[in-house]
Amino acid sequence: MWVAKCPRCGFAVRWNPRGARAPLRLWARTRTLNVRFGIALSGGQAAGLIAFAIGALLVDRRNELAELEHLGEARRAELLAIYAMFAASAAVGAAVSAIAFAPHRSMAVRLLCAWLLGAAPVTIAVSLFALLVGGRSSRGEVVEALQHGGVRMALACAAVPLASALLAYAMAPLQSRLTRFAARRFRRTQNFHSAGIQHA
Amino acid sequence: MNTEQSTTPPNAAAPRETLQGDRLCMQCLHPLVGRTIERDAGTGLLYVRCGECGTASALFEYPTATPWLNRAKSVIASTLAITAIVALLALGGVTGGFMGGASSEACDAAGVELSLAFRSSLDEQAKADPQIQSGYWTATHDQWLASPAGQDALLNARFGVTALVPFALITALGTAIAAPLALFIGIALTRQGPLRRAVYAALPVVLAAIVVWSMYYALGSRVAMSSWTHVAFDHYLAGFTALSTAWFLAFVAATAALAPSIAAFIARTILPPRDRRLVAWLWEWRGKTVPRD
Repeated sequence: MWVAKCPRCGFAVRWNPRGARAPLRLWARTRTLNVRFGIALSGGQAAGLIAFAIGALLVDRRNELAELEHLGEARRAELLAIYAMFAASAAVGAAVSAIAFAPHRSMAVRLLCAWLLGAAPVTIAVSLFALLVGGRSSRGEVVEALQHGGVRMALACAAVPLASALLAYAMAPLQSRLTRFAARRFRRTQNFHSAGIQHA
Repeated sequence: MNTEQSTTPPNAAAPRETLQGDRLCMQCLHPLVGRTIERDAGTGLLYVRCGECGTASALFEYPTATPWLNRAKSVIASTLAITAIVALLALGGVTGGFMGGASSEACDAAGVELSLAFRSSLDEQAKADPQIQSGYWTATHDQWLASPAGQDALLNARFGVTALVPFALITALGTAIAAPLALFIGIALTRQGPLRRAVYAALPVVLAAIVVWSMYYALGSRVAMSSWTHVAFDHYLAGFTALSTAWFLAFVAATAALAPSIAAFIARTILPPRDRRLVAWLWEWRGKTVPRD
């Protein structure tokens, strides 16, 4: 056991440097993980909800989707703009989620985590619920949409995870630099022996 | 101050006063109020000795939250136990509800299919019959059901897409809702073996199945065949209920048995090695070491 004694008044205190900092270290790590999981799960779940909205949009506009090339310019632009807005939102959500998930893993695994752990449960649960509430007519609509524009729907849905992967790979270097900068700054302000605090 | 000094009473300094205020022994949590404050001769450190276990506790030290953390353990343990009981009840309710719901929905859909098959088998004269048009159950319905065409329709309606789609959808939704509950129960029972985990988690499903089957036998068999839905219930309800019971039992038992492995796999995937200490019990309770890769 260490005893720290005040040089002026002689007041003695039992002192364990590592033990004294242990609760703070635990709290700091837990807080970091909590924040990271919060961002990761929220981003993934948002992507899952928007992916469901994209599916609903494609089913709703199944007739226009089947004859996309014969549509007027304005109608086509409107349909594509709505789709692009949803797709971009889902891609951003999934990319942010992937970056926050499992920083020690490869980006492919992180993207899988974002889509499988974050997005998929939400999409599956909401889709099943919607199909149940909608009953036979909504199930018929889905079957009809798949029969008429199945390939286009598959392409439109596949584009979203692809876009999220591109975005995540593009954002990864920036994120790692930001993380290193923040960690270095945190260490400097917390460490008594660092150059930063001595100059301050 | 060394260990020997802390375990033997100091003789250098005479007691001055007693401890006032709420303070617990670090070892046994016994209240230290009223104990004599002593000073260690070598270091001048103030301390009191526990009247129960004799452990010396320094009056000024960091951190001082240990007794409160030990107290929190019992609160956390009781909260977990209550949550586990609620999860067991919820698992029984969810599986039982979706078991009955999926089976009855499938029978409803099959009843509609049978009705359509009956209508299509009628000739124009029969269709114009006021009794048939009124929708009441007649001898014609019974005759058609007994005929080879009726028997074929009964067979086709059971395995028709119309009945299987709502059955599969409702069962899938029930599975999605039951999965986190089964996972939680399996993780809470990590100290038990896989077989016990499976049995404990399957128990509420078995109870739910008993309730559903009892309702089926108590109500289902007493309903007279007076509509296509009743015909479907009479012919298909037992089969669909057996199918959903078997599915939920197998799924919940397998999920609970594999729950610690699934949780450990997810933790290993998403947690960096040094952070896995926070959930080290996922491996240590199963007699394994925390993976470092």
